[in-house]
Amino acid sequence: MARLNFPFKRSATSSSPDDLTPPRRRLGTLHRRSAAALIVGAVVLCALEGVGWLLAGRSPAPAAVDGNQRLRAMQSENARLRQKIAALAPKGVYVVIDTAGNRVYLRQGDETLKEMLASCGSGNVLEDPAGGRTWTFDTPRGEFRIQSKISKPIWIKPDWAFIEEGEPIPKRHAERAEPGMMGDYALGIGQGYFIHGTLYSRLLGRNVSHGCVRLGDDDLKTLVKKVSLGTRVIIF
Amino acid sequence: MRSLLLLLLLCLFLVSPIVAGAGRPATESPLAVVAANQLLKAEYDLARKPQIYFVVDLPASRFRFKASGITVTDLTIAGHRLWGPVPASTPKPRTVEQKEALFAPQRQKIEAPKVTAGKDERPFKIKALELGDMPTAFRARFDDGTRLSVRAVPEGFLARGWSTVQTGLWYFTRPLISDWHFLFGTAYTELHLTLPARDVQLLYWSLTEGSSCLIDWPRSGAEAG
Repeated sequence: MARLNFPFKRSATSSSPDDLTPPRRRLGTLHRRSAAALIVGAVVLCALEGVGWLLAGRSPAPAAVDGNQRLRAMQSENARLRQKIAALAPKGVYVVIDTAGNRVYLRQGDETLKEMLASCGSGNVLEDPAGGRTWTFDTPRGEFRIQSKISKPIWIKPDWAFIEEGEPIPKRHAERAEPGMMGDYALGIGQGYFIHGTLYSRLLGRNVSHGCVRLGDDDLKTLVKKVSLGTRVIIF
Repeated sequence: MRSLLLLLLLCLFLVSPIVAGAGRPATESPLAVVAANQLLKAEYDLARKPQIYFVVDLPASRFRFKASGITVTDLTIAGHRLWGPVPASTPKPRTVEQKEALFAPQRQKIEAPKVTAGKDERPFKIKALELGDMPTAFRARFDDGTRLSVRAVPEGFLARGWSTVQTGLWYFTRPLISDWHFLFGTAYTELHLTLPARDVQLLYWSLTEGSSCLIDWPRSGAEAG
């Protein structure tokens, strides 16, 4: 009701001597115009929608294969490619690391031999207050190989470890050595990353490491026994 | 003797089509053969590199994480919608160019304590970017312009209702986006996937910008699922 009254009131108050159209008739004109605009809008929208659906249905011309012989050649090429891809798969055992689920899997072919609880990178960022340097504590992803097997490893604390703890960075190399922090074994996978033990076994299953992969003592021992230098490590 | 021979002939007659069919690949359409060929070529190139790559197998409703040709994780796609023309198959993988989410997780900055003689007095609290922090809906754009949108399977009455509204809006807006792209001489293709929430989070975690992806499109038409 209020909406109907509005144009009427407005026209009543602002009527000029030239405006001789009766208010009710002008209201009708306004409604007709609105309706017309609405219909035009709807038609345009429908047209646009229709064109859009037509465009979505268009497919590029498919690549043609001329003749049965060519098709058969392509089929045998496909079979060869499948074989070549299968040949790239790791022979023997390999390690798969799920950084999101904090799990390490020892696998052979499609079979999982052992599932282990781990701690992977926290994804946190550390900035050097002295400026210039930034570290992101992610576990790298991709395919790696076991490059070293170390018994009783000694952690050589990098600069970020001192910065994170608010300690001054030592001048002497010997002051960086911290035995026992990496557990009984460390498996190097390159780029300074290791699969190693931990003192914080209660945090296994959480993303708390600085990028290395931490394992419990027993699991680490099993893994060290099963893998050899060159064993593939797939991290996702 | 004659009946035995007849029986043998009958057996041969029955078995011969099966034997003949075994040598030939199952009724594979030429298009499927070409598509498989392009995918295999692309996969072979990817599998030779020491990297993780992703295969969206729409006919089988699987999202696979692969490396060196082996599947390291296999997720089930609960549902998919495809808008726009299926891109012509090429032996080139798609690369994730951009990934965005409404509630994208932020990396935490470690606050280093002041250098003091005493020990660190900060209370122990895990600060980490973990799977649970990942969003349950996100979008990604590939280098060829194809869009990927991923959403969690709705759970509960309200979520299902909201999902229905979103589906309606999706079908309403997509033609307009196609029109817009047509004006600029490009085609708009979007693949919408629905997976369980944890799998969506895992995808967001793993599908980083720059990762390679292969898509095995559905065999029939542009509209599927």
